[in-house]
Amino acid sequence: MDRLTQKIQAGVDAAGARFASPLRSKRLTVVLGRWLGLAFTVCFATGLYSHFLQQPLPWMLFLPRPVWLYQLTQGVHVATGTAAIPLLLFKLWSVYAQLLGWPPIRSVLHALERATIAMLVAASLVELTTGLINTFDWYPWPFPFRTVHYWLAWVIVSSLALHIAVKLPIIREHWSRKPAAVGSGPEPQAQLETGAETVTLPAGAPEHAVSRRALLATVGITSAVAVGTTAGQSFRWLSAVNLFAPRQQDTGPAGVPVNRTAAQAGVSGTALAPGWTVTLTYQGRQRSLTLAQLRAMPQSTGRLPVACVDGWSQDAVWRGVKIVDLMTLMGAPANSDALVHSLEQAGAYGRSLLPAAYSQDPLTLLALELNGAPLDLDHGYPARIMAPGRPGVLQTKWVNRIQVLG
Amino acid sequence: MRAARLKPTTATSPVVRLTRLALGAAGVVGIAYGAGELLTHLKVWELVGLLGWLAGAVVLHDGVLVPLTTLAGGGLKRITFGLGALQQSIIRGALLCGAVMTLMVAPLLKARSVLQPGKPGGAANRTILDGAYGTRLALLWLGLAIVAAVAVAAVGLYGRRKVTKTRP
Repeated sequence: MDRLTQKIQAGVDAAGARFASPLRSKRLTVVLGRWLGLAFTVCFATGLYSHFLQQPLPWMLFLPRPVWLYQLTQGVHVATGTAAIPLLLFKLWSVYAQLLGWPPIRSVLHALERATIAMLVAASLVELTTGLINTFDWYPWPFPFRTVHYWLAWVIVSSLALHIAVKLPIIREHWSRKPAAVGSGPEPQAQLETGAETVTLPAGAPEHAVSRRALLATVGITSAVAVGTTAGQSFRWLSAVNLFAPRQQDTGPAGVPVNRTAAQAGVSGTALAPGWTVTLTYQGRQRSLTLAQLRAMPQSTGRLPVACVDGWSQDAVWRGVKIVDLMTLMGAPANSDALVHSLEQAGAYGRSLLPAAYSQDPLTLLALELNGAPLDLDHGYPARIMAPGRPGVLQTKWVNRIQVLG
Repeated sequence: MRAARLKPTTATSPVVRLTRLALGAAGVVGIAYGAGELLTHLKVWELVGLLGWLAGAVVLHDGVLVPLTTLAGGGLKRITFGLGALQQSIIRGALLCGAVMTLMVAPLLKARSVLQPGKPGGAANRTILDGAYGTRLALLWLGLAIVAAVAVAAVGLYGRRKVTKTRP
C-alpha cells in the first residue's frame, strides 16, 4: 500500500514537473488576481445596477439622469466581462500546478477549500462563457440565462471573498514586488509550486525565456485587444475598430440596431392594423387615441440612447408625445407611475413599469419617429416608449395601452 | 503600507484576523444565498443542465485547454531555440493573444452559422451578427504576425548593435 502511494506520488510529481514553469509564482498569481478581482467587482456592481433597474425593490429609487448612465454602466459591464476572459484564463494558468498537488486532500479543511475553489473556477468559467455567448442572442444551454447569470454572480463574488480570506496571508506577502526582484538581474531562485510543497530550483536551472513582466504585458495587451475590438458596439470612439462585437452602431432601420423584431414578437399583423389605437386609463376613465390624434398633439424631440442589456447602445433622435402630456390629458398628477402594455402579450417585453421619476421627465416620450422618419415596424411602430437612463428591455415597443396608476 | 509593516509578525494582527473572519463569513453566507436561490428558481432538469455545464467547463479547461497550451509551448520552445529571450517573449505573446481571441471569436462564428437570418429557426434580425468575423479574425492573425515579425527583427538589430558596442 505504501509502495502504491509512493508510485502515485512519483507519477503526480512527474506530471507536475511537466506543467511546472518558473513563471508560475505566487507574485504572478497575486498580480493577476488583483486585476481579475477588480474586473469581477466592476461586473458585479454594474450587474446589480442593471438587475435592480429591471426588478427594483420597493424602497429603491432610480433617477433618469444622466441620460447616458445605463449606456455607460452596461457598456462597462460587458466590456469588463470581456476583459475578464483573458484575465481568468491566465490567472487559472498561473495556479494550474496546484491542481496536481499530492496528496489531493490533506485534511477536512483542505478538502473544503478545494471544493470552494472548484466552485469558484467552474462558476467563473460558465459565467463568462454564457455571458459572452448571450450577447450573440444565442442560448445553447438548458437553463434560463438571466436567472443563472444573476445568482451565479452572487456565488462567484461570495466564493471570491472566501478565497481572499483563506489566501490573505499569501496575498499580503506578495502584494508588493520583492526587493530581490527589483534589481535588473534574474531572480536568484525560482519557486515551483506543486501543491503542498514548494520545490525550490537553483537559479539558472530552467532556461525559460519569458519573464513575468513579458507575460503580464501579454495579458494586458490581450485584454486590451479583446475589449478594443468589441466595445465599439457601446462606445462610439471605438466603433472604427469594432471587429468582433455582435452589433455595429449605425446599422439597421433608421441607422439603429434592433434587439427584438416584430416577427420575433409576433406583432407584425396587429402593429400594422389600420385601426390601431393607444388606450389610456386612469381611475376608471378610459380614452383611446389614434395615430393621427397622437400626431396632432404637441410633439417633442429628444436625443436619447437606446441601450441594451447585451451591452450595445446607440444614440438617436426620438420624436413623439411627452408622457407628461398624456398624464395631463387624463387628469392624472404628473408624478404618477404608469404601466405600459405592448401588443406583444407575453414575456419580459410585454409590459413595463414607468415609475414617476421617469414618467414625469420631459424627455420621456411615447415616440412616433426615429431619426426624422416614422418608426420602423421593428423599432416599435406605431408607438413606443423612450425614457432616459433605462435598459432597452423596458423601452416597451408596439404600445397599445398605458395604464396610469394611482 | 510599507513592506516592513507586512512582515510575518503582523500576519496575525487583529486587523488581519478580523478582515479574514469577516470576508470568510460574508463569503459563506453569500454562497449559501446564491446557491439557495439557484436551487429554488431552477427546475430540476435546468439544475442538472447547469451542473453539467459547470463540470464540463472545468473538464474542458483543466483537461484540454491547459495541457494543449503546455504542449504547444514546449514545441514552440524547440522551434525558437536560437532566439533571444525578448524575441521569444514577443512570439509567445503574439501567439497567446491570437489564441485567446480565436477562442472568443469561435462561439461568435458558431452563433452566426446557427442563427443565420433567413434560415429556418434562424433569427429574423439582420442587425446582429452581421460581420465578416472569419475574415476579420484572419486579418487579426495577419496583423499580429506582422507586428511580431517587425518587433523580433527590431530587437535582433538593436541587440546586435548593442553587442558590438559593448564588445572589447
